[in-house]
Amino acid sequence: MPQKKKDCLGVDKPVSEVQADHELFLQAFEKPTQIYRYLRSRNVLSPIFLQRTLYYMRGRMSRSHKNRMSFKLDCLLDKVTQKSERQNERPASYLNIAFTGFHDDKLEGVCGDVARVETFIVKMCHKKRKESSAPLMQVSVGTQDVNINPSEGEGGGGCGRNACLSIPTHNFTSSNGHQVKSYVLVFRVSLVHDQENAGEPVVKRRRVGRSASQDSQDSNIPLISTNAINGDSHGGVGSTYAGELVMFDRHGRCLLTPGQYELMLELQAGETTQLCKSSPKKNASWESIDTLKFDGIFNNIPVLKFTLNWNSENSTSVIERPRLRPLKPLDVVLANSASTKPKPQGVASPEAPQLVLYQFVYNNNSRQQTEARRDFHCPWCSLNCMALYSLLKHLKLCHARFTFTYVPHPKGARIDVALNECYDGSYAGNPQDLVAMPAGFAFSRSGPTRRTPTTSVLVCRPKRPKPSLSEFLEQDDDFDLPRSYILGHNRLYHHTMTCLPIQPHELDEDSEGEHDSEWVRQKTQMMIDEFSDVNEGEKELMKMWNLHVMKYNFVGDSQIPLACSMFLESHGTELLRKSLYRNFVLHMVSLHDFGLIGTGVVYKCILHLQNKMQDPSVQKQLAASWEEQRRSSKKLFSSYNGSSSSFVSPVKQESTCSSATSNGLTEESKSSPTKSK
Amino acid sequence: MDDGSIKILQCYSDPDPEENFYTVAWSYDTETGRPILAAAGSRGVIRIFSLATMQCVKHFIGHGNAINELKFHPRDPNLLLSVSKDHALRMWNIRTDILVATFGGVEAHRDEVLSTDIDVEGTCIVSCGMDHSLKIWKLTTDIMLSTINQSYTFNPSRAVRPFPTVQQNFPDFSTRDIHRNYVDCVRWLGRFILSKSCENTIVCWKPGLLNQTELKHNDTNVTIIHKFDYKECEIWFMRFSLDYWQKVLAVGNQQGRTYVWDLDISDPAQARCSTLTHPKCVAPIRQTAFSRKGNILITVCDDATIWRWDRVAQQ
Repeated sequence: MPQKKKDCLGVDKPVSEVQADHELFLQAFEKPTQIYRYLRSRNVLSPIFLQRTLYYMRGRMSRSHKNRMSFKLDCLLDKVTQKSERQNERPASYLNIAFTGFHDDKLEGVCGDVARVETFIVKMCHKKRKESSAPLMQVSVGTQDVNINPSEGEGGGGCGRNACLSIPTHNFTSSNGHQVKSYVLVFRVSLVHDQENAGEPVVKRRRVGRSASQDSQDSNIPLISTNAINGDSHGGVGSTYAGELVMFDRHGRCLLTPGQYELMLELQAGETTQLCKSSPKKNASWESIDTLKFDGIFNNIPVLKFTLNWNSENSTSVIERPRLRPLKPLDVVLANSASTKPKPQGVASPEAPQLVLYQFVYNNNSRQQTEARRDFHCPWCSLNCMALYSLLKHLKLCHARFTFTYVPHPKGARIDVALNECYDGSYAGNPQDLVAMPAGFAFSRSGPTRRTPTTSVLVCRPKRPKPSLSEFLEQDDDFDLPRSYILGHNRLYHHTMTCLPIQPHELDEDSEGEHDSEWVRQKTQMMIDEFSDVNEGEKELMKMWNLHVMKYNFVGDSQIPLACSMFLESHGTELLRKSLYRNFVLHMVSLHDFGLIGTGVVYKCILHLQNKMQDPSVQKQLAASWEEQRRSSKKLFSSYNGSSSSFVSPVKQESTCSSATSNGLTEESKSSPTKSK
Repeated sequence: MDDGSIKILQCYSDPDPEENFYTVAWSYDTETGRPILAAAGSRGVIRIFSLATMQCVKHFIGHGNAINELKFHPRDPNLLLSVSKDHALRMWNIRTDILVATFGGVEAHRDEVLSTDIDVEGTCIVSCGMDHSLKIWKLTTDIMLSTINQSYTFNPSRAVRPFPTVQQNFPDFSTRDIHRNYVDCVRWLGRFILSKSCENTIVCWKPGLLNQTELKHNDTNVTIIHKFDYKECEIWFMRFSLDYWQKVLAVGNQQGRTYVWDLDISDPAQARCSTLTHPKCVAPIRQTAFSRKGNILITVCDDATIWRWDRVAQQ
C-alpha cells in the first residue's frame, strides 16, 4: 500500500467519529486491495496474459517487427549451427571421476581382481503433451576396470594406478530441443572374473533409482538407506551391480560437489530383465544422522568408491559447475528491472517520470493522500506502466473495483481513487460450473466432459479512439464499459417440472413440451368416471374419443372429419369389441347436429364401421354379446310387464348390431353394460 | 452421554447467513457405512454432511421454496423424501444424485406440505399440510419401483434425455375429514396413522372402514381409532415423535410441558399419559426425539434450550 501520509480532512467533527469513519474507510479499501495483491502474486507465478501485448502497453513491448522484412527461412539452420559451434569453442571442461575401487564384503575371496565399471549418462527430459512417458536417453561414456576390494593405502586420492574417467561438460548442457529435467550418472559394475560371463550387461531402463551419494566433507545431507541385497541372492561371479547419481536437482542446481564418494550399488539379477524384486517402499527408510552408524551401514552393501571433481584437463583449477538453466527468483520478476528500449511513437510510450499523486476518496471526502511518486508503477500490482496513459488505462481496466479520476497537476498528475459502487463481482464464466455436483467437479480435469457451447471472443480489434488523457477526466464511463464478450447460451436453464438445471448433454432435446401429458390423460379419465348420469358405455366412448383428440391435438373445426376417420382406423375394432356401435353413431349424430361434420361424413364413417363388422372374428364377438344382452333384457322385460302398465322409456343404452343383412335394431328397455365381462 | 449430560460433537454453519434449518434426518452411506446427516430449511436446499470428514459432500436444489421435513426410506438408505412449502414432495436418490419422483400437481396438496412419514416396510408415504388434508402415496406401483431401479443405473453423460422422473399427481388416498386446521405432523403407527393439528389432539385413524385393507383412490371413509388429548398447544409447527419401537409417544406444548403416552397396551382407551415439566422450561417445545432404546427423551424449545429426560425404571 502506498505510504499513508496525512489525513487532509480539516473538518471539526468529534474525534471518535472521525476515527470510526477512518476505520470504515480502511476496511472498505482493504478488501479490493487484498484481492489485487493476491492476484498480483498469482499472475507472477502463472500469468494468464502478457502485459506487453496489450494495446495500451506498447511501452513494454521491446520487440519490433523490423527484422521481418529481411527474414529468410534458410537462415534458421545457420543460426543453430553457429550457436552449437560457439558452445564447442569454449575451453572444454570436464567432470573427472577417479575410481578407487569396488568394495563388497561378500567377495572376500576375490580381492585384487578387477571389475568392469561402465558409466552411462541418462538424460531425463520433461514430458511433452502428447507423449505417453517422459523420454529418457542413455549414452555410454566410458568403461574402466577397477580393483575389487583394494586395501587401504592403495590408490587413494589422485589418479595413480586407478581408472579415471573424464566426461566433457557439454554432455550435460546441450539439450537438443528437449526440455531437460535432469541428468543421471549410472554406474554399472560387472565382475569380469569369469570370462564367459563378462558380457556387457543389458542396457535396461531402471524404474527405481536409489542411490546414496555421500560427500565425506559435508555430512548434512539426510541419507536414504536401502537394503540393496535381496535375501536370496548373493554376489558372485557374473552378477551386475548398478547405482545412480542424480546430477541436477529440481531447481537446476548441480548436486555433484567435488569430493570423495561412496556409492551404494544394488545387485541386478544377471541378464534377466527383472528389476527390483522388492518394492522400494518396503526397503527404504529414513534415518537421522545421529543414529546412523556409518560403518555398520556400508558393511554389507557393495560400494563403489571414487573421487569426483570438475576440472579443465591438465589443470588443477576448479571451474564453475554447469547450470542446467538459470534461476529466476520471484524477487527478480517482481522488481521489474528488465530493461526495455523506449519506443518513440504513441502516447503509451515511456515518458519522463512525472509526479503521480494518489488521493483516496471515501464518502465524497478525501481521506488519504499518498506520497508523490516519480514513476508509473501501479500501486497494487507493481506493474511498470511506463506512461501515464498506460497507467490510467491499466488501473481502470485491471482494478475495476475502484474508480479512478485523473486530475492534471502542475507537476504531474493526481489520481483520485474511489470505490466502484457499480462493480459486478459475480461469476463471469459458465454458470454450469456453479451448480455442478459434486462441488468443484466442473473444474476438475478428470476426463472429457460435455459442456454447454458458448462462444468467447479471444481476439478483438475494434476501432479505438486515439488515446488521450481526457477519457479519465470524468467519472462516468460510457463507451468503455467492459463488454462481456461471451455470446451464445451462457445462461443456466432449468427444466419446467423439476426445476433442476439443464445439463449440457440434455440441451439437444426439448423435453419441456406439455403436449399430451400423462397426468392430463389420467385426469380426464377420472373426471369422466365421476359422471353419475351417463352410462358405462357412454363413458367409455367419451374417454376413447377424448384421448384420441388430445393425442393428435385437433384444434380446428375443419379437422373433425379427419379426426373421425382416424379414430375409426385406430379404434374401430376396439369399438366393436366393446359393443359401442350405437354410442358411436350417436356421437356422429351429435357432431352433425353441431354442424361440425356434414351428412356425407356421417354416412362414410358408419359405412366404414359396418364394413369392419363383416370381419368374421368380429362377428362372432358381436353375436355372442348380442345374445347375452337379449337374454338379460328379456328377463327384465318380462318382470316389468307383470308389474306395471306404463312403458318405461328406454334410457340411453348400447346394443349390438347383427350383420348388415338383418333389418332393424332391437331396443332394450334397460341399460346394461355390455362390455363388462 | 452416559453420565446424564449433553455434549456437543459437531457444528455446521451454512455459508448463507439467511439460512434457517428446519429439519434433519440421519442415514448412512451404503458404500462406506459411515453415517451421514441430511439437513434442509428455508432456502430449499438439501445439504448432505459426511460426519467422518465433517464436510458437506452434496447439495440438492430444485425445490421452489422452503423444505419442511426430510425423511429417509427405511429399507433403502439412499432414498430421501423431502417435503416443501412449494406444495410438493420430492424423492431423491442421494447416491446417484437423481430426482426419482415428485408428488405434486392437480390432485396433490394445495398448500404447504408440513410433514411426512414413510411406513416401516417402505410401501407407503403419508403427507399432510396446510390444506388440512392428509394424503397417502404408494411406493409399490410398477412405475415407482421401476423408476427407483432405474435411478441406480442411469448414466447422465450417456443418456440423450433427462432422467424420466415420475410426476405423481394422484395420491392413492386423500382425506380432509380428520382435522379442521393445518395438519403439522404425521407418523405411521403400523397400518394406522397418527396426526395432529393445532387443536390439542393427536388423532389415531385409518383410511377406509375398520375392516378394509386396501386403499381406494376416492374413498371417503375414515375410521378414527383414538384421540390423544392434551392442553395448550394451539400454535402450529409443533411436532410429536414416536420411539423406534413405536411404544411411546411424546409431544410438547407451548408452555413447555411434555406429554408422554405409553402405547404398549392393547386397548387404546387405557393409554396412560404422563407429563414432564420443569420450572425453567416455559418456551414452546417444537420437537421431541427418543433415543434408540427409548429411555432418553430430548425436547427442544424456542428459547434455544435442549432438555433431556431419562426414563427411570419403576420399582
